[in-house]
Amino acid sequence: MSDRGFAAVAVIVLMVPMTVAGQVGGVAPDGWTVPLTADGQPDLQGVWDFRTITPMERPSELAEKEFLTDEEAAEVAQEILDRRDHDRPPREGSAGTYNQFWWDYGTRLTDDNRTSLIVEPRDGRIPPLTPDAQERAEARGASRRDHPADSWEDRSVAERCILGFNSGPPMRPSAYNNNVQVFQAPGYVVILNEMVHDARIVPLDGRPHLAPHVGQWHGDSRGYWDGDTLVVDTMNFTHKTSFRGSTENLHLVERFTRLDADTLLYEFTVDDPSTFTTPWTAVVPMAKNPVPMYEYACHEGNYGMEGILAGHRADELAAAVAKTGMKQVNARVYVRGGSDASSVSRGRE
Amino acid sequence: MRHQSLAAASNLAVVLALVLVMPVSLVGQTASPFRTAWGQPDLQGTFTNKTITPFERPTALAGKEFLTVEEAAELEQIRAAEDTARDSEVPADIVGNYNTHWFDRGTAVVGTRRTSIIIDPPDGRLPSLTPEAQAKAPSPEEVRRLEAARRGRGLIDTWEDLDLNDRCILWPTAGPPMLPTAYNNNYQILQTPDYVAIFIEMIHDVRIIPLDGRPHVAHGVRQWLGDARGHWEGDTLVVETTHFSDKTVIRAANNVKPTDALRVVERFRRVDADTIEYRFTIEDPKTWTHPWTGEVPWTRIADELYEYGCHEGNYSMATMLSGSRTSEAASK
Repeated sequence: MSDRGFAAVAVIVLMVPMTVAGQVGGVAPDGWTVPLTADGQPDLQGVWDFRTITPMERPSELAEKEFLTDEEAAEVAQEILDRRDHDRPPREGSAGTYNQFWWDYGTRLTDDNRTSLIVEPRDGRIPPLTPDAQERAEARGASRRDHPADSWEDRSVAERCILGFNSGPPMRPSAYNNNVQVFQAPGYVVILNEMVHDARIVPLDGRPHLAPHVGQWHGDSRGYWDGDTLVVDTMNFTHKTSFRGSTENLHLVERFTRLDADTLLYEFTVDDPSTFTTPWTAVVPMAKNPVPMYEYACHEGNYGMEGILAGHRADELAAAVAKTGMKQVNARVYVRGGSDASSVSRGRE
Repeated sequence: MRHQSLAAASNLAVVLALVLVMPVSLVGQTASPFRTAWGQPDLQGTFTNKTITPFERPTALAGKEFLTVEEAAELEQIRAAEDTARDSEVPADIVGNYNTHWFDRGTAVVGTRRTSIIIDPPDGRLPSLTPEAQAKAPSPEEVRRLEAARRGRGLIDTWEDLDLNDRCILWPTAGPPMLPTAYNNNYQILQTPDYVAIFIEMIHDVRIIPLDGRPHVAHGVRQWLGDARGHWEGDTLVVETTHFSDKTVIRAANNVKPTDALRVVERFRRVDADTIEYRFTIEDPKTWTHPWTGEVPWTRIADELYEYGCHEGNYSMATMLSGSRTSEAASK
């Protein structure tokens, strides 16, 4: 009796951890089980590649079509790639930009043949802007038209090397360096984006968000587990951080789910009632990347900023010469004095 | 017989129970406050390495390796008085710098009361440059020009004359070696079984250090933070970093840029609940005649780190440059 009781205890002890692990890890239909970290969390770690040529928004010609057939997908992919051929000669009057070598947006649509990364609203398009957001968008457009490069501050935060153009949050596939590495330490997840070597340290301990007046470029991220899915809730963006016109009221929810050994599903929901009339959601499958990430450098090689600003000063000078008929040296006084780095570095005009 | 097999079964159960219990008891044995759940030494938390102890031993203290308790207290009082004086000078010095509010260098010398962060060579000072490095170093005139420009006493030709920290590229706190500076000397260490991540408050840099024994990156790959590889030696995390960019500068070795031979070895050891002992050795036989070693403790802090912004508020860069251009125009 006592012998049997002992054996029974041993069996129960054996079973309990396995059952718990089974519940936490979840079992995929094909029998694949989410691996767990040493402290029992679903393991999302590794370098993930989020390249795809599937557009964020559904093209208008595909209005009612949520998915493509394989044949259609092959055709659409080819059209997109043809349109993006960067080895074509630049248009007349342009010095041209990167050639094809520099671009790395991938060559494939997402495996599900979706016509857009946006899945909600169902039309696959960003919902209409609020009237206030429309006004802001028009003002931004006017400013870009009339003052494209008075100062570096007229340029995008990505050009200024403050935030990566694809690293967000939220992350979205773009021109190149579409890689993110995830680390899981006890109580934290570290999300390291290749662009611009930015890391988000996401606490998982349920602490509240920062006080509302603390604004950060990357916002303030707090994470928790919803089953096998890591949910990252981000608020406290600065008023200078803008995703598709969003404001400091942006509330972003990202979800990371390991689908199989090689796939991490990334979903994000954008909620900013000051900007969008309804929340919207996009889904980006990420593929395991066996290659390590290297240090991305930006600002120190950013002679492009100087070039952009100096180019605009030269255009202004040429226009002033044409308008007044003055010699260049005299026309200079008609041109904006400027306080940008290009106009104040010696011998670089 | 039946009984025996039952007994055998229960022996099996005992073995199973032992197998089950073993990992638990291993964790139990090592579950001191300084062990992770998977049994590695636990360095995690938020820390600061601020100190008023200088990087190199002041020449006035030549031959003196340690301060006495009284001397340390006196130095701390002198620094505190200087801070107060800086504030009172502000109205008179209108082009002055930050007042004391902005600085956070700490108020105390290191716990060992050493007279410098450098502990080897024993004189507490950087070793001599090799002839090769001397030949490569900028001329004394160029050094004077750069120093004057960087201290606000001379003209700046371009932003590239300024320090990497003024340009928001790299701060000495990121290193490596990770050295205290004027403020924001704060770090957060996070660990996984395969990586240590050190988040640096200054310009929100992060060092990701793999522990899996992978080789260094290819020779031609050069990075601002170098290429770090870590391993455990007992309770000590040893981080070896090579493959630095040729533009990287080590603080206090100011106008000397290390070469592709630069190798930094850092050692992190948790000595108590609130302290990590941090020691580093710098080798670059093309630059210095000897390796040199420094030591500065990391002390636990209760606060969390907030996002540091740098470049986006950097109006000073344009102002410094336009100030130089204005001075030039005035002198013509």
